[in-house]
Amino acid sequence: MFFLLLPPLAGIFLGSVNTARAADNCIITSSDLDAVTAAAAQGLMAELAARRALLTRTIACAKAEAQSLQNNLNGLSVSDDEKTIRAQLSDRLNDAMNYYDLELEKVGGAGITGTQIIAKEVFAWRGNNYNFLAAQVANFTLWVKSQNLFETALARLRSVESIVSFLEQAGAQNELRSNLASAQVLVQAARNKNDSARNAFLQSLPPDQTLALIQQSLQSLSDAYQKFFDISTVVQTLLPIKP
Amino acid sequence: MLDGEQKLIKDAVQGKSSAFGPLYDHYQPMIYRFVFVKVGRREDAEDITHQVFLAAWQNIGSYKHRGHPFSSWLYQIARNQVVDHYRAKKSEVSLEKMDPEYFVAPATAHFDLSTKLEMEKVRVAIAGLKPDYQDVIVLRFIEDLPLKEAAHVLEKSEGAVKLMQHRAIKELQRMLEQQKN
Amino acid sequence: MNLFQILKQFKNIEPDPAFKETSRRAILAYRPVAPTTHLWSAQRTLWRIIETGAAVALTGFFVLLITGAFSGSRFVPVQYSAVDPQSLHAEAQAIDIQIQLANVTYAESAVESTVQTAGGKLLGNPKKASSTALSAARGTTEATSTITIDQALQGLSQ
Repeated sequence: MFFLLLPPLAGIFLGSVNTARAADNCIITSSDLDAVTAAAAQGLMAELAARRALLTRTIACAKAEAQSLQNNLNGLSVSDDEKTIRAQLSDRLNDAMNYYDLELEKVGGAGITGTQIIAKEVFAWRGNNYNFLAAQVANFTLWVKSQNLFETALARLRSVESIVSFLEQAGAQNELRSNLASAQVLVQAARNKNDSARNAFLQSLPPDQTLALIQQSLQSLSDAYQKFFDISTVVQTLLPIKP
Repeated sequence: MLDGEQKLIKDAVQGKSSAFGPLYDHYQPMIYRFVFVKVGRREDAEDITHQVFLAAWQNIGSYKHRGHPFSSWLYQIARNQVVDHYRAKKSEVSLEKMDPEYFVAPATAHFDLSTKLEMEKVRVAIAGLKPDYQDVIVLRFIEDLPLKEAAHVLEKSEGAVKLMQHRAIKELQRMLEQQKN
Repeated sequence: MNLFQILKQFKNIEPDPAFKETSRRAILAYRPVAPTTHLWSAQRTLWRIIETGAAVALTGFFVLLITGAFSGSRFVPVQYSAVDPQSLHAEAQAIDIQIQLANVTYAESAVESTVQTAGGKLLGNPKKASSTALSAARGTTEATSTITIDQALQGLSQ
């Protein structure tokens, strides 16, 4: 059922990242590249003009992408601890935008080979630097937006603890207690992994590790809810009157 | 690489501190040197090195071997920690500044005075380079890391590292010449 | 000494042994600890439980358990909403959605580039078209005319 909800929700979430990946009015098409090839047939000056124009537009789009990521990042609602992480990521995005500015300055004076070299260098730089940064920003956004799930799960756990304690006093089965114990361990594990993810951001660990911690924390939460469902099933059989 | 490193890493990933200990013993000096050359102050280098290994131990559960040495991961953490250190302290490296502690620090006690003076001049000049150049000089010319590993640590292609090290040395030589004059 | 000889000397720098030992001990003594509960978080959690209780009372969702074994009263209020399947399902679904988003984030970072239509709808990457998670998250594939920044840079580097 939730897969029906997933595409629009994914669109909303990833839209906040992928809108960053292609910022407003920054659409580059394959026909733009074809135009460069076509200009080559008209002569070297035409080709150079076309290359410079497209390279300038591409790097400007890259800068706009970084700016958009930064705007989304700064729009997140975060606690004081998390402001440090956000500031670190925001600073790195500033560095990226400065890099693009430096590269843009070179384009105007570059020849055809020069524009090819600039394009190659910027491509390599993005592969080695920017893509890691963008991944970490995406991770941080995901992490921030997951925090309320941990609060909700903890509240749920407390409520379930109350009802299990009450039913045990009334002579309920041990199955309730063992499921509750498992749920407690899983919620704690989820919170530990969540804290580890926060530390991973603070310690600037690689993005794939941060993401792994986030995934593990969410999975533990999901497993805890399975235990809540198991408890719910038992309680429903015990309670003679249901709403 | 440490003998039996793969087994140690595997055990450390499972949380065995008895395995992380030997890894710490083996890699701590090289990480310390890397950080020390970049930040210059012994106290800061010790703090940052401690943070690097604390971060590594706290997060080793999610470490995955992907065909690169364990040291690459440590260097990457160290690079990021140094960047964050500068951002937090907003400190400026003074090209004129020589840390008097440097001359009495146990780490350099075994050098003769003229060597110490030469090294400090070079260290100050390295600290004046941009971070990528600092890194490539430490990794390639001090720690003798193979090109492939240095490229992985620096997140650049091997070709880019070759070019960068050439430029870094030229820039360092230029700065030392300027100091002399 | 020339520059390269001096640089080689740096390899002889060693950390202070006392620092190394202290640091080592402190690091290896680290054990994962339970996260500290921030007061604001505990207060919010408590308030939520109270709010839940008040809501249950107002909508009349009390369930009375009649048992002679319970001393003090024959009737005891129990918050059935603590195990209400519908609310559990909603919360679990929110977590599962977040897990799927995390998996898509992984796939995003693994993929070199994305392909978009001019309308901004996400499509599968031709290089990772076999990834079912990616396809499920991104819907159907269509012919595209838009290219990414990286594709443009690659094209211009030739």
